[in-house]
Amino acid sequence: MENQEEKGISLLDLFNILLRNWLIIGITTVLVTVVAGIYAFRIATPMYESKSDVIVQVEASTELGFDYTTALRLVPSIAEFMKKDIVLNDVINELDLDMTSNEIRKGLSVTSSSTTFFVYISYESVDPNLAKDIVAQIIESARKIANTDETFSSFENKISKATTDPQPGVYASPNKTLYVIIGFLLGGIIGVGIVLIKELTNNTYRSKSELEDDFDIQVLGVIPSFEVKEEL
Amino acid sequence: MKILEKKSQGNYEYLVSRDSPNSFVTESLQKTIINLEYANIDGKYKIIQFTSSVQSEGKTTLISNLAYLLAQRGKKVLTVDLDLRRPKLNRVYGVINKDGLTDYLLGKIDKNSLINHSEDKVDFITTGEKTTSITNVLQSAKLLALFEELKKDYDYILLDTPPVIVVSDALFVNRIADGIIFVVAHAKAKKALVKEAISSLSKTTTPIIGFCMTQYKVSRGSKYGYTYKYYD
Repeated sequence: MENQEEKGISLLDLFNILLRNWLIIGITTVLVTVVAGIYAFRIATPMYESKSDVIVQVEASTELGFDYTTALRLVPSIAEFMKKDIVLNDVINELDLDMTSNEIRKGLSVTSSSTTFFVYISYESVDPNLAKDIVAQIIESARKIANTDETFSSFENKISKATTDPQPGVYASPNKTLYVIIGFLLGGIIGVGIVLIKELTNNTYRSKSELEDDFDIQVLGVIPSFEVKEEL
Repeated sequence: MKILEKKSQGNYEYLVSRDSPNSFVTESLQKTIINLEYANIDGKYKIIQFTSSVQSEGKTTLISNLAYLLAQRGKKVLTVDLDLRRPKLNRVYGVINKDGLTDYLLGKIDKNSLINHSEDKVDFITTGEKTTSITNVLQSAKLLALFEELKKDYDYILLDTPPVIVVSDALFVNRIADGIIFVVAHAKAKKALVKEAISSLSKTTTPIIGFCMTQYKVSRGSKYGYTYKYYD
């Protein structure tokens, strides 16, 4: 007569557990999504990004034209040079900023690739106009120092003027949609986690076999729960 | 998540075994009776006490349905409400709690007016007038004598008693009962409470015939698994 049920939990059981606890999952999902939304829309400071770029050009010494190889080799160094204190301190002086070079570096990103002669400068700030001014000034200061300071004589006249005019910063972060989506997913995951922990640490009897395991007493019957129906 | 659970309690006049005779629930109840009959093959369990560890584990619903099905099988059945604190059995038969056990013990009524007859050929005894001296009632010699007498007239006497953990009433009823069916509602009482209740019942001389799990939440998938088990 005895039919041994499989131990463990089937995919269907798992699905049923989640279905039974849909409210917990729903509440956590909504809650975390709302928190993420409030953060993205209300709390997080919006940041504005301004971009510009320069081109690195090296005139050949022997004939007319350009020495592309040397230029390509210089690109990464010039990108690095633009982030140096000597450049940033000059920017601070010129714009009369109440910032340290490290603070500027946090919002600054200077990138280059090994296949083009361009160096891209972008700066993120809470103030769109400040972002634009800083980007423009970094290019100016870098050019000035490269052309005047002996230390950087190899960069002399190699950095062009801004090839793209810096514009007032455009909205860059936080990505509100992404925050909400991540909040939604995270909430769902947390909800499912709570439900699973709740189920796994459950200390009530949920099957005939659990009773049989704990007591040496037979189980006469298992009566399903039912709803009162007036008619079948 | 109890908030959204449909009410299966409260409407005691609905007897699932009578009103939905072909339902899966009725089938499970029938199976319980078959197992009980096997356990009672020598007929030594005439007076069966139903108790549980905590409130509302479905004792009254179980008793009234088992009584109905036993009567259907031609047995003479009597159900007695010994839950003097929260009487509910009277609701099953749609009567008020008067002319019941306490009235009989006080000599207000005789045995004939004590026993009610329902349309379903099930006899029943209500608690009668509320009393504060419950332990005295349950330990009285007159009660013991009454049941000795009733034993002669019935095949089965089913006693509805309070949960073991809440009050000690169930332990007093032990003297009257030949055996106990312990009701465990699915995923309701903590395992520790059930173990405590069983251990206090085990200290008495009345044997525990078996468990009956009620309010089992059947998932659609396992339902078929269950019905096939009947054809072992």
